[in-house]
Amino acid sequence: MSPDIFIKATPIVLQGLQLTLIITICSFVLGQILALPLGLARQANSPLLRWPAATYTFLIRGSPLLVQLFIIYYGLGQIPAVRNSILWPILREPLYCGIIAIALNSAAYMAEVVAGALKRVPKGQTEACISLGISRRHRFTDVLLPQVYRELLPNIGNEIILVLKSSSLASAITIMEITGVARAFTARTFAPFEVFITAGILYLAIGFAFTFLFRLLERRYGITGTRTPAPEASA
Amino acid sequence: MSAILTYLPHLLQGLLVTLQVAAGSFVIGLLIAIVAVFGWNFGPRPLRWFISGYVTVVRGLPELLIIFLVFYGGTVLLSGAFGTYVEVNALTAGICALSVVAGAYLTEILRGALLTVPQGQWEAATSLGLSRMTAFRDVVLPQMLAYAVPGLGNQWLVILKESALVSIIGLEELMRKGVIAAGATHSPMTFYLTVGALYVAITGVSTLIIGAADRRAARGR
Amino acid sequence: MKTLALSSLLACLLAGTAMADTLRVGTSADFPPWESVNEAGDVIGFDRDVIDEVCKRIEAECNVANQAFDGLLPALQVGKFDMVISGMSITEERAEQVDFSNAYAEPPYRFAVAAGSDLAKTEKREDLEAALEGKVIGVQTGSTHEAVVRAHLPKSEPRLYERNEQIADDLNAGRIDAGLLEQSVWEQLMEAREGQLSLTGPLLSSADYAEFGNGTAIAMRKGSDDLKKRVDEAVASMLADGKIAELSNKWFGYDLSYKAK
Repeated sequence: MSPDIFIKATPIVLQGLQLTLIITICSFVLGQILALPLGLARQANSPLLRWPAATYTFLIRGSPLLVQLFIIYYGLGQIPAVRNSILWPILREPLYCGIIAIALNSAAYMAEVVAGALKRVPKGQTEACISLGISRRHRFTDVLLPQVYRELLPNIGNEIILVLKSSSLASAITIMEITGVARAFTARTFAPFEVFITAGILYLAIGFAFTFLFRLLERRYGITGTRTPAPEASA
Repeated sequence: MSAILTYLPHLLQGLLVTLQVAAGSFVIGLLIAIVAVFGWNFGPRPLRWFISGYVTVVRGLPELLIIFLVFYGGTVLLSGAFGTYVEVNALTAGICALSVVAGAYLTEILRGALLTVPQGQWEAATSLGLSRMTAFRDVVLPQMLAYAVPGLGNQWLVILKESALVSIIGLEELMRKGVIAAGATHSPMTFYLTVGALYVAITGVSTLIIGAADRRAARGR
Repeated sequence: MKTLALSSLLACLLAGTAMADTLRVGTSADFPPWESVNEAGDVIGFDRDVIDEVCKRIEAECNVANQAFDGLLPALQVGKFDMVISGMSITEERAEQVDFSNAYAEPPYRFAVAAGSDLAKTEKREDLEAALEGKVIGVQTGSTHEAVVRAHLPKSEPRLYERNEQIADDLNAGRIDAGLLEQSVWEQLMEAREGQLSLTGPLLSSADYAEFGNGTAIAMRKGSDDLKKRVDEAVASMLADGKIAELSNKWFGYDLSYKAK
């Protein structure tokens, strides 16, 4: 290992930083948005809502993200009907395919967590709200959601780290994020150790920054003493 | 459809390799975790720092990066260290990398399970004259593992899915066989869906077995 | 007793010298028609025939072993192999790590585009270069083609793929505008994708873009000067008497033997 190569590797690995951040943040946000309706459907009374949501989370959580990524990128790209559809301008781009695949994956794991939190809300609350004359809509937006999300803050903070790690798979569909540039650089220099270690340090730094941010949010908004167990990793 | 039938034997061969990688990584990871939890409880302070450093760092790194590091870096490093060529093939690299990853998560799981073993068990065991080592091995460890069954089962599912990443360094497991078939037949959608279905099948069966194991383990706690 | 010990020592020494002429050759047999594995599990292809002939001419016994391309040069450096033949171009970066024999072949390279693309009918290299400005070009990670695009088409965006067929499929899907690969590789890909792709521009070589490397050669460990001398002589004689051309015609259908510049 030579320090020279560490110095040489740093700017190269940093070239991938922007894409890693874009993929992580976009997939994370999109995943969180999708997770709420999915989680509600998982807990719904109607089987017409419950079953499709349960099937979706079962299939996504039962197969590797890499397979899902390949289905969306290489699979859909080979179907002429998809190429002629209005979705093609989006599915044509590897970056969008990567964001969509990781978001759909993250949403399935997060939906289970949201469904679990919804289940833990005491039944008596609904009755209390009805007797207080609070409307259905406000019961949802002002009573239920704030409770659920304040409770879930640690899980959400954990999920963004999982999404960050998942973003490395985007390199398999030609996206030159941190892992992608590190691998391409290795193929040219035969110096794998220095490059991958530099990349690893960068991932740890980003993860640390996200964790710090969520600790702040938790301290400000979180409910103390109700930490739920960490959800499973979404690999 | 006929293309699937032609390639199905290849895919099933790949599935066997996938199960090998996952089982190997799970067992080695579990051994790492048991040693780590023991060290965490009885080791000197620097060892505890090392163990929590290991857990934190590994959990913060993408699995794919760890696989690349072991595969590309391993050959260079080991060959340099031994002065002769040491081959790190894709299977070895995959199992090593995933074991290291699984070890970190399993350490967390076992540490959590250990906390649920009542303190009285330790006291009872040591007051009966058992050494701390024996108390850990014969009294606490079995109970800890029983409490950990859901977590262990979950980690098994995670490893099964993570093993697909080893395809990227060329190991011909299920995912790789699917990529090869997709390339050869020129019908990627068919094969990626088939591969996905096979993964769902093995994770589905695993989930059923884990559920049964958990009910059985619950009798003892 | 003493004589026995001495004679067995002698036998060992003799065996040792005989052993030295058994050479271990590494290749990555996933690149037909250069090299691939047949149904019986044997490595076959152009390179296989070339190395067999080289070994015959240097009077050595050769064992060919198959492993991933990535690991070939590291394995050579640490002594697992004595030679590596795997359609490998001579590049400066590789030449820093290992020694190369004289080049035995120089394959032609070619751009390809989706059938019906505006770029399909370009004939001159300069026109194609101009037309590719701002376009996305698919290449294989770590290949000399990647280096060519980076050096000579700085206004185009190289997109790196793991596998050749993914480049062909993404060309057909319209995700990339052009691809740069070896002519023989395109021919194989186009066989399976009738009418989807079309080759464009002239055949290219290192005379057009130096980054393609100085031809395809056999790699050896640094310092194996004696072996290199013998291999160089064998390659020179095979080029001179048309053996390389013959093997090339057998596997590719055209002559890609190396022409000295």
